[in-house]
Amino acid sequence: MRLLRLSLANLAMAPLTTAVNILLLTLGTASIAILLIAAHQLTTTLTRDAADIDLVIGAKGSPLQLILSGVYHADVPPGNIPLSSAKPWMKHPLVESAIPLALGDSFEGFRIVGTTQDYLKIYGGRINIGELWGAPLEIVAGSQVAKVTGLGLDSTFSGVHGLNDGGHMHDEERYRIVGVLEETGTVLDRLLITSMESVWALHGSHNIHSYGSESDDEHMPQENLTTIPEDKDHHHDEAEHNFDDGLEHATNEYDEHEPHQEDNADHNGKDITVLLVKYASPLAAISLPRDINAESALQAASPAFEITRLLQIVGIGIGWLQAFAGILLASAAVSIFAALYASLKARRHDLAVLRCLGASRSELFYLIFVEGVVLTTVGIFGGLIVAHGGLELVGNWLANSQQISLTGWVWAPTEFLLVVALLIAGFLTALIPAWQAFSTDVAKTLSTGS
Amino acid sequence: MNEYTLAIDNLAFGYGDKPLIKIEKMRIRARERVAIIGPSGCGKTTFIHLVAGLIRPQSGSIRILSREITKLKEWEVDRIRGREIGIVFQRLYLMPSISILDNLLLAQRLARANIDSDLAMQLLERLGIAEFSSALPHKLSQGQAQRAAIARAIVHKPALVIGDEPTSALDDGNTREAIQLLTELSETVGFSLMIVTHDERVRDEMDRVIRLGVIS
Repeated sequence: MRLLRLSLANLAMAPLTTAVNILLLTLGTASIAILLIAAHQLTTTLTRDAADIDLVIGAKGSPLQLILSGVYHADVPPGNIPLSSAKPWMKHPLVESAIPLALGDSFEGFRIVGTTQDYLKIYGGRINIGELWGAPLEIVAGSQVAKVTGLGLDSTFSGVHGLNDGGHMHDEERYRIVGVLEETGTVLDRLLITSMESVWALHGSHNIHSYGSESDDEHMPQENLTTIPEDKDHHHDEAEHNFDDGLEHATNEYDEHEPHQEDNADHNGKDITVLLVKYASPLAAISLPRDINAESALQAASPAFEITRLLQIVGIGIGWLQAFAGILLASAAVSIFAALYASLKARRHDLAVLRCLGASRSELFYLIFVEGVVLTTVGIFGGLIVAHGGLELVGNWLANSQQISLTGWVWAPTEFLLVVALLIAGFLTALIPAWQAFSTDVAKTLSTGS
Repeated sequence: MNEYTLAIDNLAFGYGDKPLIKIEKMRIRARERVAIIGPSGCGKTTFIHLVAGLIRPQSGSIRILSREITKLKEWEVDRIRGREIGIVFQRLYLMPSISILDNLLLAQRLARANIDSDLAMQLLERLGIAEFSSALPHKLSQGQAQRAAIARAIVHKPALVIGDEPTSALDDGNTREAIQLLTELSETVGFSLMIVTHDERVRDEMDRVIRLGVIS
């Protein structure tokens, strides 16, 4: 007969009180853990998806909206910009690379992105089955898109104007899946990716839909959209400029005073939604956004800055929720203390009798302390199980979501601190009743009767 | 083998300046059965606490077997109390959350004796309550619970069993049964029995009666 068994038996003697205390602690722990895990995933996702993007250039409007739409594909873009107006910035000496995106359509809520194949490199995207797009209207699916929609090799579908299924369907031309990407854990998994030409081909006059607008459904025939970039010495070399998908990848060729006639000609009338820029030098962060914003038609937004701003806004809400969860935890701690203290008072004669049977003071301390430890430990780990299990369930439930990816199988680094802090708080809570048990005056207790 | 289970010399205890107990000399032999009587306020319960080492006297010595418990550290007294003394309380104080058998095994554990569930079951059988071994204490009648409390007090084979008015809450039948059990077990198990009581029926079963007086 171990004292631990007696402690457990004592807890089992008051099942309702024990259950309520554990439940309180479980709820408090789960609340905070869910916030920590979700915040960790949000931060990780936001940071990872924008890791290799220093600047986003797009239409004037909200910079946060530009980032959310252009990087995370979680909002509608503020508008489109002419490719010709973005072109000079693609060749700017402070720009290492610039990848254009043409947005506007979707399929079952998953966005269709017209871009270059360099876009995949940002996220380490690789083909799982099939191949990358080549001809217009060939398209590859992100892993989650394929999983959720069931699209596979040679599947065809029509894009829908806008981001919801209710938009106009481009049923005149159908995309054909030529490849499915490996899972990357990034926004890439939730996208359908094709060439710029495909998007332009589906939208008349090379104009991409403005979200919410139904006015531009006239389709134009495909054309060769390959541009001819110039190298730093302005020696034109066709071999260098022909990219797989027909749109040049920006290099450091920039001459703002002498725009190239052929570029203007090729890009005349073509719209893109955003340009994802990587700086060639840290100095670019100082001057480039300012220079771009000075242009009346364009806006430059820094993902890092906007993410920080977004997390600050979200952080206020999380802070309030954490405060509420903290109150829950404090209530649980007080409840456990009250339960142990009440239990101690009710069992003071039992404790005195244990001393008469030969128990030492430290054994009485252990007996009560263990009860507190068991309550605390079960409550905390119950809370973690509820938090992780709950998030996994919610994550599965939201699996069809095109914007949110949640899982319970992630351990937030701050959870460790949470567990340690809660265990310490729980143990401290148990210390006072345990000390009272330690200090039990046996003779006096037995003399008072019950 | 020690001649005396309990040996007290020049014992004095009081609260503040007021003396409560003064015992010049007291001896209880092995297997001897002694009744401690006295008027209310003479310190009978305090005397039990002194013998059990729960409180310390102002002066004098108390030896359990050969160990002088007033000179020992608290944890050493705890050990001797657990191993050599069994106490039957006025109120039974069986641990309510564990079974009768576990109550006995707990006593063995706290006495640092071998955990012997066979011995405990034999004892419960001998006391006629084996069928309740896995029952919680509140399932037992008053008489059955008293027998369980007696079993707990002797399951670790102590040298001295102290009864603190163990029959005061019992009816005639249960009182008779409890005293018969204690005296019989004292003989067969081999412990000394010291019972503090007001009960005339108990005194008659003891070998000797020691009267504590009120110190004026």
